[in-house]
Amino acid sequence: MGKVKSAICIVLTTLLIAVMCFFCTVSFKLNDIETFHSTVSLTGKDITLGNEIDEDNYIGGGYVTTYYPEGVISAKEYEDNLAAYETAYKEADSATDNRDADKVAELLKRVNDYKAKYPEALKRGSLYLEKEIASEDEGKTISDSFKTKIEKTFKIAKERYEALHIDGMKIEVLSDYALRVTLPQIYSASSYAFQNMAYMGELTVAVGSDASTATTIFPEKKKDAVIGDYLKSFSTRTSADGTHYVGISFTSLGREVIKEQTASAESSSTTLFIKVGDNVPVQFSVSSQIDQSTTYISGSFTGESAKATSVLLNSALKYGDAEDLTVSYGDTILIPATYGGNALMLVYIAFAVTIVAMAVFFFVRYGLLGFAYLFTYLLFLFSMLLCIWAIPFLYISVGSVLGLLLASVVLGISSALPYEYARKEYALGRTMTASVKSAYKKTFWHVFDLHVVLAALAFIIYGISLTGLSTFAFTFGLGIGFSAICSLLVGRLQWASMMSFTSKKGNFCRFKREEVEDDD
Amino acid sequence: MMTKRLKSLKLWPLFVAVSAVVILAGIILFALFGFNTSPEKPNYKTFEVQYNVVVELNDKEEDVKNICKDAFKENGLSYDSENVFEEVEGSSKRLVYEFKASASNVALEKAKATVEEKLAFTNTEGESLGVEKTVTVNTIKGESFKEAAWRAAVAIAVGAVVVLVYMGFRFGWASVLSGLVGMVNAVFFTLGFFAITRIPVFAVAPLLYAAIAAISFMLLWLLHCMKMRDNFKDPEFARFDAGEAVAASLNTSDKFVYFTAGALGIAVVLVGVIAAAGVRLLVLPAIVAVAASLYSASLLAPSVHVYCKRAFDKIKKNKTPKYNGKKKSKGETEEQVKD
Repeated sequence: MGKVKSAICIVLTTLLIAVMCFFCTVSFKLNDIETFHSTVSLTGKDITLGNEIDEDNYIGGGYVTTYYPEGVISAKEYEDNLAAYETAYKEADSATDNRDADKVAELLKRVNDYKAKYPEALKRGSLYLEKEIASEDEGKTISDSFKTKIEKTFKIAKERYEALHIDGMKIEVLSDYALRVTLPQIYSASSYAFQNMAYMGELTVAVGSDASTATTIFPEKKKDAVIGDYLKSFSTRTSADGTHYVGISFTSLGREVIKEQTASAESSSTTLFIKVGDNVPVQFSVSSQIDQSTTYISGSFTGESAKATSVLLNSALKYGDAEDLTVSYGDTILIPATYGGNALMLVYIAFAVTIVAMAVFFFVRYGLLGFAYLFTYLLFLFSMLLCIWAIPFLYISVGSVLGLLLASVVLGISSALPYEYARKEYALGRTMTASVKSAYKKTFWHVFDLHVVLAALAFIIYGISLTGLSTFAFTFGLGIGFSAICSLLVGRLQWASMMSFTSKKGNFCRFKREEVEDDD
Repeated sequence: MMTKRLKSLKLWPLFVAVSAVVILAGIILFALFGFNTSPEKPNYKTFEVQYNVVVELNDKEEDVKNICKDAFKENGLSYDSENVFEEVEGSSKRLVYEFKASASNVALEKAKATVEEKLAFTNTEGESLGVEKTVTVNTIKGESFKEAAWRAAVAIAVGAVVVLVYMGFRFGWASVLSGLVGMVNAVFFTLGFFAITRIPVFAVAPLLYAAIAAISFMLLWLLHCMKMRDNFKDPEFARFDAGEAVAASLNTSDKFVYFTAGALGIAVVLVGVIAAAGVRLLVLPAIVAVAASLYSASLLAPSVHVYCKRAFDKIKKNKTPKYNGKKKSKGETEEQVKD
């Protein structure tokens, strides 16, 4: 490569690296109100890591809420209610003028009734259990039937959350009778999921103008009719324009009934309500007769909320029963990165140290050729960081950092492979140009096979596995893709352009000729 | 010619025995106790103080923490972590102390009573500040999920089969058989090691390490296979028997394989050592996966490869038609053919 071309190539690459580095890592204040944030700081973080981007905004960590089944309340609710009853009683009792003895007696009875409603014997940790619902022996012990219902409620909730396949999601049983759920901040539908996953009870479909007065069409009011006779399942679909849908698959009987019920939909608009217990997670207006085995409902669904809806409806279809305990959920709290506030910064530092160590190795072994590797690696790294920021389902986690780290090592190996071949060729007496050409020719299929095998392994693991492992595998697979391009094309270009400025090419790469003993 | 490398390949019964012991013991211990997922905190207790904004407005948050800590000290309790969480909607805060599952309930209840009593802040005139607080003691049991685990296992298995088929076309079927043995060993050796040593790991970690073992084994084994493919084309290698050929080829690729495994290991150790405690707990044990894959790719798989190569060479030899001289035509004598 000529010197002019090489200079242009190096300048352009340097500029590209500088621009990418700036966008990836630099944050600064534009003025008193606006701040320019680096893409790395804006990239989503999993529940274990997190960073503040300004005083009010935090990226990472997650949310926690607690579900209380029917008959179970929190200590705070109990204490607040009791305090309200006691305050009312004390105020009435201590009134100096017009003290109403009947009212005082009634308020005292309310206090005592409330205490009796949640007897001390049924208290479990921070939870108060209602005598009427949880006990069959006047509040002395918790009944087996209540325990069975609680077990079923927890099983349903657990299955629903598990089906969402969220990395970092955690479910814990709180004092045996409540459920604490943690969702990561990167899951954008957390409040939607917290609310919808609390819906318990029988699945029904009703038609009408108002949810409370709508007529139930599935299941029909006839003996032994169950919802499974009418509905097969619920699914999700995303159209080419990015609209998300929830699909309802009808059985042949269900299709007949819905066709009949929506026959007049074209003349008078009808609303269909899909209920779980008394709650209506989905309602939609029908403007034409439904006569398909699967109907897709659009609305304001995001991909995640559509999935949460279909998971909820499938669960209600499978397990829903009129006798199920209803569930309410308490306050949601915000939790910061579970590995600690400085965990992310330490990950960045650790990663930077590893990169520097690799670069030092290349400089020590290959001299100034290390610059070719460094330029190649920086292009690889910043391209990867921009991809992690731009691809919606990728985020920064220990898994993705490990994936990036392993891909970096593969890039190092596949860069060193032609370097070593070229060293041998040069030692045997060939010119540097011929050595480089021959090295890349010899190692092309090696590097190609290496990348094909690793990328295939990574993407298959990504396709089948879930959550953390899939993030690791995808990041690694993506890194392998970039590594292939960088080691086969970018690296060679960098080498050629950088080496054209030196006349002592062997010294540039720290390559030496093999010494041949002279017999004379 | 018996080289050092050839000697190492003849030690295959030792490698098989070591692997069998680790894997079988690992399977048994996993079936009995599972992995040590204590960092996941399957069971623990919490001491929670929920308080309203009054505490924050009067700069009493540190006082709340001190009251709790004093109460714990009085009752001989020591906590694992202290965190303050904010409500998403509302202004309440929650101070949460985590204790081990073995923490005494009686001591925790006593600490609760003490905190409830002392958490009544007054101003200088002795009037109540209006602090609303709820102090609770909870037992927490974590739930585990099975789907992620079995899907990860299927993913690694399917991935391994697909890449080994590709390897079969590119490097020959002998490499596939030895690669399969090596990969299974690397993955199960890693899992077995964690089951035996009971090193504390996160619940998702063993399968992540298994995936890393599969990937790094593949990387190391490919480096050997590439060199073998090149070397076996050399007519000089044709003179060797399978064992000598494999050993001679390994001599030319070992250095690069050790260098690669070393680079992987150093990268994992560097990140593990520098990173925060939680990250370290997840990253550092991955060194076991790298070590297992190096053992598999450098010792076990090449030992197996000697036998696979020998068998495949034999099949190839038998399939190649032998030249037995010119065919005799009818009525032609032996001498006539020779002439």
